[in-house]
Order: sequence, then structure tokens, then C-alpha cells
Amino acid sequence: MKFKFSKKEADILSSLVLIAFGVVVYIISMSYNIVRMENDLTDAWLPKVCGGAIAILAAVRLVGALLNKDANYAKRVERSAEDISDTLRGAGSVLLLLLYVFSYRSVGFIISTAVYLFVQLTIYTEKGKRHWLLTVAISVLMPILLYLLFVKALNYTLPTGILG
Amino acid sequence: MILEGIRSVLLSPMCILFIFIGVFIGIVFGSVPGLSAVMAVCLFLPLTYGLTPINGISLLCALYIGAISGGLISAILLKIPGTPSSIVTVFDGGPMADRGEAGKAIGTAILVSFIGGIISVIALIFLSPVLASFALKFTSFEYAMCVFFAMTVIAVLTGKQPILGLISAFFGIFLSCVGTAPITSTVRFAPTSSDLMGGFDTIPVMIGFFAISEILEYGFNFSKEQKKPVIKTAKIRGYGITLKEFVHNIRLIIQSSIIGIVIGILPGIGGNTGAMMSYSAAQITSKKPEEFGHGSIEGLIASETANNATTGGAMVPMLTLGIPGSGTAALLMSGLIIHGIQPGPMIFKTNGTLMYGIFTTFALANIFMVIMERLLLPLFVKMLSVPKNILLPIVVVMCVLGCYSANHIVFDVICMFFFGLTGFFLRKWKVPVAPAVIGFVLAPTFERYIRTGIINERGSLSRLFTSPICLVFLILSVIFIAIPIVRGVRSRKAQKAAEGGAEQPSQEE
Repeated sequence: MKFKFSKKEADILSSLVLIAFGVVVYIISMSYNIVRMENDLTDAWLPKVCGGAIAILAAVRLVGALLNKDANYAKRVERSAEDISDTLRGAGSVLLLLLYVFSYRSVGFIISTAVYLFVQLTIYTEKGKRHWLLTVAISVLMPILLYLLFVKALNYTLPTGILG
Repeated sequence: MILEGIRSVLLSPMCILFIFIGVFIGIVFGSVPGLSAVMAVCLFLPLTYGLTPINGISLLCALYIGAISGGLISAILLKIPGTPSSIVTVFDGGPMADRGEAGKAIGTAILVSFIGGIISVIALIFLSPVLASFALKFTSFEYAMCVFFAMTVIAVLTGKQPILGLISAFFGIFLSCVGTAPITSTVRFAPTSSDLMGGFDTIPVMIGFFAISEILEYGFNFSKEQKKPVIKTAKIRGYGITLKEFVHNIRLIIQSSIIGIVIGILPGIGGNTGAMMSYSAAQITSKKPEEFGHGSIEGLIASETANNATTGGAMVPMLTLGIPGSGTAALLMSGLIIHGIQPGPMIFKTNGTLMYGIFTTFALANIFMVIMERLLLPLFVKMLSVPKNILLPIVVVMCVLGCYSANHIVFDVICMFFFGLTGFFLRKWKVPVAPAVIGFVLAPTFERYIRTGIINERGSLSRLFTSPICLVFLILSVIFIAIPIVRGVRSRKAQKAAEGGAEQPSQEE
């Protein structure tokens, strides 16, 4: 997309998502509205309060956003090259963390952590400032030291994965 | 008996060594996000089997005190609460570190933690029986109102943006509803997942919302982050806080200590409630309430004094009534039972010497904590000089490690990731994440007690308005919710008026 969302569009969109979320929570909560104990409030009351409150509050926010006529509030800003590179960097980090979390048990602590650290350090360092030796040293030494500390010294269990 | 108890600790080099080691390891556990006091005590409990009762119990108590205090380090430096008790410390400790006052923030927090801890030991020694009988006056409704009162800290945090803050709080409360419901054990919002039946653990929620969301945000704002000036941390003398500031805050320290002790003695409530309640009270009584959440030293003092003051208070129901008020207290109680000591009303008669030995341990552990953390202070502050691009990936690894180590299940780590992502979107939509965490932490206790109370009172809510304790909490809650909102509205009006005043000349031009 060439333009970023305006503040107004972002507020409207987020309010709509929250209204939908609140309504879904409220509807699902209704299925817990069964009296199992005499005088009890039922299991539905607290989630119903939460769902209802989120939907109502988000609706208030939505109305506020729709009624706000401030030109700056509705102004769209063009996406710069920096914005695009930041989005890629952020999305890359999300994906990397997702892979790290899901491979934690199967691949094992040491290898998954070493790979995660290497890629994340590379993503979070500007191109001209990358120091490969330091990156490799941190990526390799950190998981080994943590493994020794937690498993050998503190007697914790960490996933060994393919090394086990 | 008292002197004998004191001697059993102070004249035993082995006991002093165990306290020293316990405090150090406790600080390490508390400072690593995800590792908690419960884990530290749990890990070392089997080691105490072969020790004498006083050595074993001293080691466990020292671990507990070190871990509760250690939570302040990551809360201030990384804005990640090391323990749930340090959640409120993030609100003002973090901004203080951002403006180059990390040393002062940590130093002050260490000092007031010590004072809170020592005052609670004094209360433990002299007021145990009185405090224990006070705790017995609390029925379910009193507990529910007490937790509700602690929730008023949400109003303090959302004074200027009540709608967004409340959305966040209700979202957190909803998260606490996932899993097995209290009273009936109905599984809510997790019909097919066995992992979710027990609900979400506090650690993944806390770390996800506070740490992972911020680390993800760093990637999406990378260019802006690179342009930010490097913060130079000012060198500190002593504990960073000046004598004038200390004297100025003595009333607050005493007020927060009392709140911490009183909340600590209530079984099942805990250090986080004490810190939150103390924070709300400090904001209401402060002359500069607008600074809360933006690096107020008063907010930091209120939080850290109270959470350490709960440590002594939490021992009262455990020792005198045999009721463990928290997970850590339950482990300490099992430590006593393993050594043939039965906590309860007769404990001072049957094991008086050991009791005074435990009190001495608490005092000594607090002294070790204040010295050790001060010596390590330059090292903690040095952490801030590590470039963010290196520090943040390492923090992620520590968070994953902490989440996994709590229950040894990968599901918690996956939850941490999803809460991090959710927190990132909430931040992007300008929804504050702190109320969500507070709602999540406090809501289960509130739901359990309010439902039990209604069942016990056969559907009547009249006790809420007739019990003096409930009434006090109710009135205080109304006041504490109203004042920040009124202040927030006033400051917004004043801001608008100032903006209008500033625009007028330019329009005339």
C-alpha cells in the first residue's frame, strides 16, 4: 500500500475488531449461563460482563472517531522507503519468533536458540554495522552457557531435540 | 527463648552462609523474567532435607526475600517485571531509566525494599497474633472487595484515556476466564484443548504483554529507534536518592509498608495486590499525581516498599494459623513440616526458638539483600549500555527460557508469543497493555471470592454494605476511581484551553 492508514481509519478499524471480539465473547458466554449451584452467579457472568463492556466501549470509541472532523486526524501519510523496510524487519522478526517458539521442542534449545539469535541479531543490526564475528560468538556461546547454567547447575530440564 | 532464637542464626556461620547464598540466588531468580520466588524455593526445597531445621528454613526464606526484591532489576532496566509483584514498578521505574536515572531508580527501589522488608519483620515479631486474628475477620466478600480495591490502580493508569484503559482491563479479565471456572469447574472458552483447561499461566501473559510486544515494536519502528539519542545514565552516590527526597517520602514509605503488611497477611492475595493498592493510595495522596506513570519516584517507592513488606506479612497466617497465603508460603510451610514443625496457633509454644530464628533470618536476609544489590548496582546499570540490537534478542531468549522453565511445557512459550503479538497490536492501537495484565492477575481471585460470598450469603449482597471492612473498601474504591478520572478530565480541559490560547495569536496574525 502506498499510504499508511490515517489515525481515523486506524481507530475505526480497531474499534470494529474490538466490537466483533466483544460480541463473540458475549455470545459464547451465553452457553455457560447454566445454574449449577443454588444462588451462584453462573460461569457466564464475568465473561459476559467483559464481552459486553468491550463491545460497548469500542462502540463509543467508534462513534467518537466517526464524529471527529479534524482534518489532521483523517489525513493519510505516504509510506516512505524507511517505513517499508521497518515493516519488513518487524514482520521478519514476528515470523522468526514464531519459528523459534514452534521449533523449540523438536529442534532443541541449543540449536533453535543459536539460529534464532543469529538471524535476529542480523535483522536488528543495520547493514553497514554488522559485526559477524560478534554475532556468531553471541549466537553460539549464549545458548551453550545458558544450557550449562540451567541444566547442569540448576538441574532444570530443557528440550534437547535433535541433539538428544 | 527470643535470645536463643537470635543466637541460633547469628552464631552459626553455616546458617549465615546459607542466608547469603539464598539471597544471591533469589536475586538472580527474581531478576530473570519468568523465574519466580516459587521456582527458586521449589528448586531448593529438596536440598534442605539434609540440613538442620534452622539452616533449611533460613535458606528458603532467604531465597524468597532475594527473589521478591530481585524483580525490581528487570522491571526498571528492561520494563519487564521479573516477578508479578514488580508489575507496578515498571510504570515509573521504566520511565526513570529512559531519562537516564536507572541507577537512582534501582538504588531507591533497593533501599525502600529493605525498609519495607524490615518493617514487615518488626510487624511479624510483635504483631503476629493480632494480625492473624484480623485476617480471620475476612470472609469471601471482604476478600472480593479488597481485590476490587486493588483493581482501582487501573483507574490511576487510565485517567487520561479511560475508554482504552477499560477495554484493556476487560480484555485481561476475559483472558483470566479462559479455562476451568471457579466453584463449578466448568471449562470456559477451551472446550477441546487440554492445555487450556487450567487457563493461561501468569508468566506468559506478563512476559508476552510487557516484553515481547515491546521487542516486536522495536523491529517495526527500527528507523526511529536508530535516531533516538543514546541515554547516558547518571553516576550515583549511595543509593541515588537524596536525604531531602528520602525525608520527604518517609510518610509514603510507612504508608506503603502498612498496606503491604496488611495485604500480605490475607491468604491468597499476595505481593502484587499489595503493590497495586499501595500505588493507587500513593497517587491519591501525592502532591504530583500527574507524574505517576511517567517516572515518579513516589510511584516507585510505593510499589517496591509494599511488595517487600508483604513478605513478612505473608508469613503471619502461615506460621500462626497454618494457612499458606501464597505458593511460596505453601512451599515454606512444607519445608517446616518436613522438619517436623507443625505451623499453627501453638507454634510459639512448641517451637518458639525456631520462630525467633526465622524472624532473625528475615532481618538478616534483608540486610544482605540491601548490601548485595547495592554492590551489584553498577553491573545492573551497565546492562543499559549494551546496544538494543544485541540486548533485545538475548532478552527474548531469557523470556522463552523463563516461560518454559515455569511448567516445562512448550504451550506456555507459544502463549507468550501470541500474547506478545496481541500486546503489539494493542500498543499500535494506542491501547495500554498494563491494565490488561492487572485485570488478568486480579480477576480470578475476585471472581472466586464474590461467587463464594454470594453462595454463602444465599444470594444476598447485603453484607457488601453492612460489613464495616467491605464498606471501607467500597468507599475507598469509589474515591480512588473517581479522583484520577476527574483529574484526567481536568488536565485534558486545561491542555485544550492552553492549546486554544496558543492558537489564538496565530489566528489573529
